Amino acid sequence: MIADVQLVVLGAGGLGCPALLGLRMGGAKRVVIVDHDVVESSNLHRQVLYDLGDVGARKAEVAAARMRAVGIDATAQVRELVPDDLDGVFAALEPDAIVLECTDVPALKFACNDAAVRHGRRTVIGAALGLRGHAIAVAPGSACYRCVFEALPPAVLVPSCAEAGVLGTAVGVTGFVLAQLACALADGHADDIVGRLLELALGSGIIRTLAGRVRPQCPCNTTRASRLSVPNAAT
Amino acid sequence: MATVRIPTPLRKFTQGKDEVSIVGTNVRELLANLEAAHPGIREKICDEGGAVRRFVNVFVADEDIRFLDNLDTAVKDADEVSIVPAIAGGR
Repeated sequence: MIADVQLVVLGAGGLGCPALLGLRMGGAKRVVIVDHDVVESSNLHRQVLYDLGDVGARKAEVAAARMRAVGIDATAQVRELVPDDLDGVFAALEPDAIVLECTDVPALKFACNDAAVRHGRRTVIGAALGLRGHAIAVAPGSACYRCVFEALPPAVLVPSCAEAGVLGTAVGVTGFVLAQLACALADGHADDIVGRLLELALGSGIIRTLAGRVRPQCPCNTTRASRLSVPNAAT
Repeated sequence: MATVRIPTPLRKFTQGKDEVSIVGTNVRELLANLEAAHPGIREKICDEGGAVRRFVNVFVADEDIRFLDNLDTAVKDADEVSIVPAIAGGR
């Protein structure tokens, strides 16, 4: 059950805020929030855990306080993650923890995926740009983010929200989908969706479920196979 | 004609359109016709050898062409073809 699971949210911005609200609505009781950034006034329309009084404060600390205020055991980690940190993050997790990757850093999404596979843990990974959102849940043995996206795209194909714009509602919808995927994983109801990329094309009102198969050439396969051969490695 | 869904970063080649209608009996032919109609777009999707770049996915009717016949995957008139690069935003 989601109430029993340690939930770790990486990034408390446009995706992280609605994801945290979704986790709260889903019944989460324990969350860890990791972010190094501070609240800016330009964030407030879409980073809905914060208000004007929070400008200049650390997002992780404010978000954790907001969650504690509604009875959730929330802790903040004020730190800037780099890809090499992800193994340490996953090594410190409780066995049944779920990590929600809500940053806007492409390399962290791949690193989070790879660390989850290496450590036999569960994660959900999301992104939003313009009117589009992506979300995928990864569990031991399932297809993973790298089964879908083989490699980091060049910067020209991954413009940031600042460059290409993002609708606040797009990150909102995507963040809630990430929370729902985490709830489904926690409650054991994710079999039909795990390992599949949800593409939210909000401009056309279409939600697609794409792929969902382990790619034979995926570099995570070796790790995946060895993890599956270890009893109790997966949760 | 198949409907080709264009991701945000490539819409500068399609005059901002998020979908275009393109003729093609398979993905290879469809991409060639897409390039003819919207010059410059194919090199963003395919490498110099013509293969789909590693950071781009092409789906025909929601199926990844890597699990079908890749560039030789058949395309029917009513099909939707989605070009899906990874996106990274979320702030």
